[in-house]
Amino acid sequence: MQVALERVSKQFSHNGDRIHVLEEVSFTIAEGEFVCLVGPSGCGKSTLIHLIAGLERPSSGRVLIDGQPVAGPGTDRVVVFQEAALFPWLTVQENVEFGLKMGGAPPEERRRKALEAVRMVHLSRFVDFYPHQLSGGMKQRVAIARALVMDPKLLLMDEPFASVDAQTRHLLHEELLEIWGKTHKTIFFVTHNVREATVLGDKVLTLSARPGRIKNGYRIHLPRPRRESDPHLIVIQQRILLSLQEEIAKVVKNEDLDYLVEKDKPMVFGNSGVGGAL
Amino acid sequence: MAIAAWEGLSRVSPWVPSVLGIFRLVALNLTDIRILTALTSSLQRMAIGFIGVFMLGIGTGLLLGRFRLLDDVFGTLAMALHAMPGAAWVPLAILLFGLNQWAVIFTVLLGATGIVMVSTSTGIKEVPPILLRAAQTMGARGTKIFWHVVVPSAIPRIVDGLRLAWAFGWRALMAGELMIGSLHGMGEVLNRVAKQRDLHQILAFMTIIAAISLAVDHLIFRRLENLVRTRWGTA
Repeated sequence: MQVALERVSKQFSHNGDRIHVLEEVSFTIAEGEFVCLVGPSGCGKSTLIHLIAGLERPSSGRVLIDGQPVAGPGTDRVVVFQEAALFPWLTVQENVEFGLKMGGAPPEERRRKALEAVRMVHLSRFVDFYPHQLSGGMKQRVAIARALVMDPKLLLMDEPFASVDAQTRHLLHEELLEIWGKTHKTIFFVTHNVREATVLGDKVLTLSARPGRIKNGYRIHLPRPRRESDPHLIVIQQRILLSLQEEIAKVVKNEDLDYLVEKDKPMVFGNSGVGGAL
Repeated sequence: MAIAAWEGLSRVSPWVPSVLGIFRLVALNLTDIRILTALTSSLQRMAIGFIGVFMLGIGTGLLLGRFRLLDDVFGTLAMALHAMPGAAWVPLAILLFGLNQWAVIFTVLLGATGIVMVSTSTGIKEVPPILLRAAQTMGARGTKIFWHVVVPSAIPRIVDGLRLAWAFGWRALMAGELMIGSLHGMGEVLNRVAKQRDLHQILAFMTIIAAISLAVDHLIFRRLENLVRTRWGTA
């Protein structure tokens, strides 16, 4: 599945203010490609995922899937969310079957496909568990299985491993690459972790601070599995980090500005500051 | 220790009731066939009323939670119903149905439906948006999302509401029976005992009334709530 964003902008109104989240974002994802997007927090990464998933509409510009504009959510593009978003009242098995059930698949087919997907993420022993009985990493695996079972052409991953520990993340990376190798799905993977992006992606895009724009693109030709400490990778990581640092500095500066405005509000301090009051 | 001290005090003063005396009376009353039939009549009314509360409360709560327009129009009314003490319905109930058991059942129904309605619609409005998004990306739409995502995610809230409704309904039942007075049931028995001005008997019946409400709460609603909490992982 091929994805193309053409000058996509997104604005929200918040308490009467217009917030420009994304501005003129353009890029393409080729069939079967693994593209990672990194950017500072609050730069509109999740919004971008929602736009491609069809959960939100762009304020201007177009999101094209195989040349067709996105009209709404579809099972050809499934999202894996950061918080796993499993249904707490369903077992692992039932969670994975959910999409098939919504699509009206017969129970026998649902069961078979779900078991297959669960096996892919190595959770066969846990099919009867409820989500709250699982660790963070296991929940994300279930979320991946739940997406895979729909056999989507595009897998949209919104910081899926942000809240799991480093060892588990490493394991999940290997599993994800294994699945990608087997299924040849197109993957769009959003993260704030530069090393994660370089280990996984064919291409790494960086997004600027709000309003989010595509800043740079880096193509990574190294064969997989890649080691995070590979010297070639470190060079690329350094370049990406350098480019992102400017953006993070902007975010911090903006937050400082907000803080100053708040701080100057109490009249007691006036222009004299804290020292004047002593 | 406290009970022993109290018991000692009750031997000296006629104004302090004896705990042992009350329990002796409770046991005596619970083996009295007339009291037992009164209890059964009361519980029957309560059961009929509660089935009504269950259906009406959840039904209207689902509608209010589902349709914004209905909530805008009737939301305040639902809160008013929720705020109204059960006993306040008795005069209207007697006017509508006369001095019979339907008046009591009506009182239970209106005394306890509000809380179920409000907790159901709250539960529905509080469904985590991320679950809705997840369901949407897996191909679920409108009605399917409502029944497969929104309603199950509201179930812990609904069960909370039902548990409270039991206590509210029980209060309304007693208020109704006490005020109607002539109807065979626990309220009527309490009325009769009150006329005999027997402190120990009155306290014995109050103990029975409280104990039954507690027993049902423990045996049914607490268990239900624990079951839901373990499964939903909200404990």
